[in-house]
Amino acid sequence: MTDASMEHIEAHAAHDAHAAAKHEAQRIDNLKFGMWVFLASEVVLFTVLIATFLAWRVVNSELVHEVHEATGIWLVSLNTFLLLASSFAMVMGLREIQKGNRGGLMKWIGLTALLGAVFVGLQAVEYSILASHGVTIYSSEFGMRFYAPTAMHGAHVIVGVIWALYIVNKTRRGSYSSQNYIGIEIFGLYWHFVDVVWIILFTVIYLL
Amino acid sequence: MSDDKTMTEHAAIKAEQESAAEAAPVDVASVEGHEAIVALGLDEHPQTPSEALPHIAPDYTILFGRRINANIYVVVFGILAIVTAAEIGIAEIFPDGFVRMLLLVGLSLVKAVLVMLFYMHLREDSKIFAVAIALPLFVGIISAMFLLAVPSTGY
Repeated sequence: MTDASMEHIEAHAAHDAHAAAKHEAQRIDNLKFGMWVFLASEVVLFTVLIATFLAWRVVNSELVHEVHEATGIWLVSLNTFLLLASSFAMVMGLREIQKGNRGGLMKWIGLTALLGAVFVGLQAVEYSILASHGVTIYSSEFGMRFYAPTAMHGAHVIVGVIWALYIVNKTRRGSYSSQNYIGIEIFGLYWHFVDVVWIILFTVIYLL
Repeated sequence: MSDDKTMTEHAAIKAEQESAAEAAPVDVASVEGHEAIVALGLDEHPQTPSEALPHIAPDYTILFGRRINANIYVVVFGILAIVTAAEIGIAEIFPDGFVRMLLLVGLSLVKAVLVMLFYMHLREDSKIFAVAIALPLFVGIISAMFLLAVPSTGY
């Protein structure tokens, strides 16, 4: 066995390891890109809904102000803080699993799900307050344009909560580790996107 | 005895080498070529899966040259909370007008960009992800502006 042969074998092994690493990196990038493309389609959906509201709002600002005064800003502001906090909890969960801490991941993703669920609950409270002021989806043009984007967003939050609980369950069964957490990153992209959409909706529908 | 053992080991290694060569012949040129690429720093792909994964955010953050004993996610959350509070204050205090609208839209865009850069890791991930999300956003904004420019007919 010559030194040259041994070097040859080592080079072969290094090449194989590199190829495997490259394949894994490519797989992760492909999964992330797939999620970003999905989110791009979501951008189109929400842009249409927001643009529809804006186009109507420009010529009906008085009516919008009346609704704002009737409902107040504090409940939806609290909801905004909750969703921002849920995004923070999500990314902290990812950081924990990157460090190999499954318990930390479960705690933070569980908190993400809880905050998302409270968000949806408070949104239901807000809808009931609006309904008590006579603002329903059929009552006025405002109702139609208000409920479409906010309810669509709420549906996304519900999906996110279910997804977060699924991740907590998978984590409990030991499916994730410091070397395998792409599923959590993909969920994170979705959840943060839902947060970004709310950031825009909050300004466009409630503050302007 | 020791020599016999060594010979046996060598035979085993040679057999492994031969079977490996049959299964997947080594392209020495490609191995050397790859090493040259890595040596020149031209290889964009990491060497191991662990290196392919993003680095864990450190426990401290350098913000405007000052060290803060909190990771970047905590700092970003703090900024998001402060900006949101500022938005609510502006909405409540400022009278309707162009400045109010500009401030509110500007601050919400700052928040959205912060979330995408730091929480969605666009800052460190491939730029193609940013392009994938920016293109429909750009088209959507242009379409919305067109929609806003069309006079309302009371639809």
